[in-house]
Amino acid sequence: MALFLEVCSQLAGGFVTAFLLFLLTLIFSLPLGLLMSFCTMSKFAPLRVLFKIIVWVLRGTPLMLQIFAIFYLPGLLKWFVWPTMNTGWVWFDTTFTTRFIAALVAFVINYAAYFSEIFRGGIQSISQGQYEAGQVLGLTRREVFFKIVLLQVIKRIIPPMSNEIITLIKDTSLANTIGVLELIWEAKDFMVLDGLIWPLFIAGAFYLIFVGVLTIAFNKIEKKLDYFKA
Amino acid sequence: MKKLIAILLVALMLCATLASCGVGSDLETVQNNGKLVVGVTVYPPMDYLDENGEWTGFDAELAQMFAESLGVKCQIVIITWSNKVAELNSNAIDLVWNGMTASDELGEQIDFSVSYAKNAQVAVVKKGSTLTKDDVKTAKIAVENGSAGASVAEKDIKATNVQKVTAQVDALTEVIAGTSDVAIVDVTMAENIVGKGEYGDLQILDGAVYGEEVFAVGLRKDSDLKEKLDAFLKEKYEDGTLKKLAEKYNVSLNVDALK
Amino acid sequence: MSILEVKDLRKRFGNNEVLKGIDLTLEKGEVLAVIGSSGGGKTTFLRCLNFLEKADSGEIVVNGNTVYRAVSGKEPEILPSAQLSFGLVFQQFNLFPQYSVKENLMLAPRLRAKRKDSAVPYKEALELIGKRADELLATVGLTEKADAYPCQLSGGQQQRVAIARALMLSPDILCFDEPTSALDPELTGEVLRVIRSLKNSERTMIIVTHEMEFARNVADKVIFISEGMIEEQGTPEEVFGSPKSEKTRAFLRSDS
Repeated sequence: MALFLEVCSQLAGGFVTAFLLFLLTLIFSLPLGLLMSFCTMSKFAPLRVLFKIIVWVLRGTPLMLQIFAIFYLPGLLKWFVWPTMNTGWVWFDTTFTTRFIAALVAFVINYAAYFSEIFRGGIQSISQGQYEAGQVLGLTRREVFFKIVLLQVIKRIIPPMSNEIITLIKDTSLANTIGVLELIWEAKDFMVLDGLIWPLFIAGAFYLIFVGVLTIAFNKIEKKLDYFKA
Repeated sequence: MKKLIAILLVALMLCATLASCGVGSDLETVQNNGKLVVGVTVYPPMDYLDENGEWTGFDAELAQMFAESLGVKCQIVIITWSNKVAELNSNAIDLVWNGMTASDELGEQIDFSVSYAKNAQVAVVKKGSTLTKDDVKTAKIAVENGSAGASVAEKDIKATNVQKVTAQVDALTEVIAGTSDVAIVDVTMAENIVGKGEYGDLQILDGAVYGEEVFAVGLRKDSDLKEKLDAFLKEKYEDGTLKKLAEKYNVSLNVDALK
Repeated sequence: MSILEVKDLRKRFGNNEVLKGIDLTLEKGEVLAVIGSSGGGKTTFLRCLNFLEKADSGEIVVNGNTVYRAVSGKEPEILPSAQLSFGLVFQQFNLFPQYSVKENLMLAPRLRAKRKDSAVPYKEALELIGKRADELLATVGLTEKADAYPCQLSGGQQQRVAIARALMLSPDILCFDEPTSALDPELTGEVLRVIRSLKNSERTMIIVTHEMEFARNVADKVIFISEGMIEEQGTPEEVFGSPKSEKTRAFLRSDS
């Protein structure tokens, strides 16, 4: 029992890292994804083509490779080195290292690309009539987007979005490629040090519970937007 | 959009200036930063965390002593083993000090210190297994990708059925789970973990010892830390510190090289 | 002075010249019915008036002010206030689904009141806007549906809300783009009744419609657009009673 609690507490530390990575990725990649979706829909062809290529590369290469490249390539090419140190913002032990930040950058960029495609699909599915109705009522383009279109887009993209977000929480384990000590890493530690395999399955339970919470949250949001049809 | 690009560029340049001291002399960099960054994996008895979460082990203790001799702090960071060359060459770490086998292939990409310990590969099987050393060649073998064990399986034994996994401990898990018959891993590692927890059902196969090899510290090519490090290791051998550590952690020293 | 003057309005999509020069004058309080077969350009004409399409050349003059002027091949000049001279009721209603009926009415005036250059304090303005919304809902007979959402309304009710919404900003000219075409036949009556009730000396309306009977009864003036040109215009009696053009006669025959 004592061992079980020890395992759980160490895994909880790994979960906090995974959760932070998850949360910060969401916070930064959602607006970035929206911005990217605008760029891929731009009337200015060079910008549009550039961002289509960027999205293609980001969705077309493994995330693990992108994490690797973001952390090691600058040093290998003698541009700059991610200083190997704790940033000083010690929130939870030593989890908040520059390795964490490098992983975060990779996750944000990668997920922004996926989100941008979801946004694009959502935005393009809104009927032209909504834009026109806004225009003839004298609204600015910005007002039309934020006051009329956005909520309809959100309602439509919640199912694909929840899918992607659930994938994200499990993808956080890829951060251990560059030594970010997240949940799976902590679980594997017990294999190396104590010869215990079952902590890996406890780690699985952590993910499962969290995804359960997310699923309930998404259902709530869907219900909340059920009052209108779009 | 232009603004965004400008901000990104400025941020990049800022990082570059902050870290530009990382290019050039390693010794100077280490002394300027006031710390020696050592890359490790959790690998008892060489590097592991004690109950208080402090780094300990044969290599960890030595690394801390070496940093002290340079008058800097020792910062031990966990890396993914297969990334060790990238970690060094990207200046993310200064040394790899982790019971690393000094193989010829690896030597083409990084430099080694004088070798300080000896190692060998052993075959690990399930307790009560009827396999003998002669059966290993045709058995299902699990090895860590890119490890000394992998080269033993492929080049020395010329085994027919080799499964590569991402860590030595995963190779052992294969054996417990029955998905492989034999794991070929470091003797140092095997002696430490076989018999613990769910690995209690494993045993080292009698007489199946392969590929005697040596451990060394890894450095960037042409690093000026090498001279300091070699002198340090020899000095610690002469004053008996290494011998004490070797007994404490059950490691065999490479006496010939250290003399 | 005429409330609306349209001078030589032209529009082409690629190789297809949809409007080949429309000239038109409308007096305040007049109701204009625009008829014609589909693809003839009448909807494009209405969309050009509301700046949903930008005419390639021509002028639009409201109350003596040139609000739109385009010369072929150049970027058109549009007065900033031009949009609000016109209101438009769409064939497909285009209500905002996430807003209640009353919120649909209030959204645009509310956002206008919020802008910095607005003279009246926001709170006072909001009160006035709410009052006006209530009045207009009463006008279209939907007071009890103020808090309902568009998806809870029938097509006819939705179109009545759309009419009230278009009136919120008191446009000089209210346009209807086939307002009953998307409705089940039994629902067209309520919408046509509302449009008829809006007719007074102050309100100028342009109605693109297939409802000939309605056009005949309500309109002061009728134009028949065919192949991008005004083929015939006049009072309902003239156009429906004794059409001069062979095309008009053919169109009216096929329609009845």
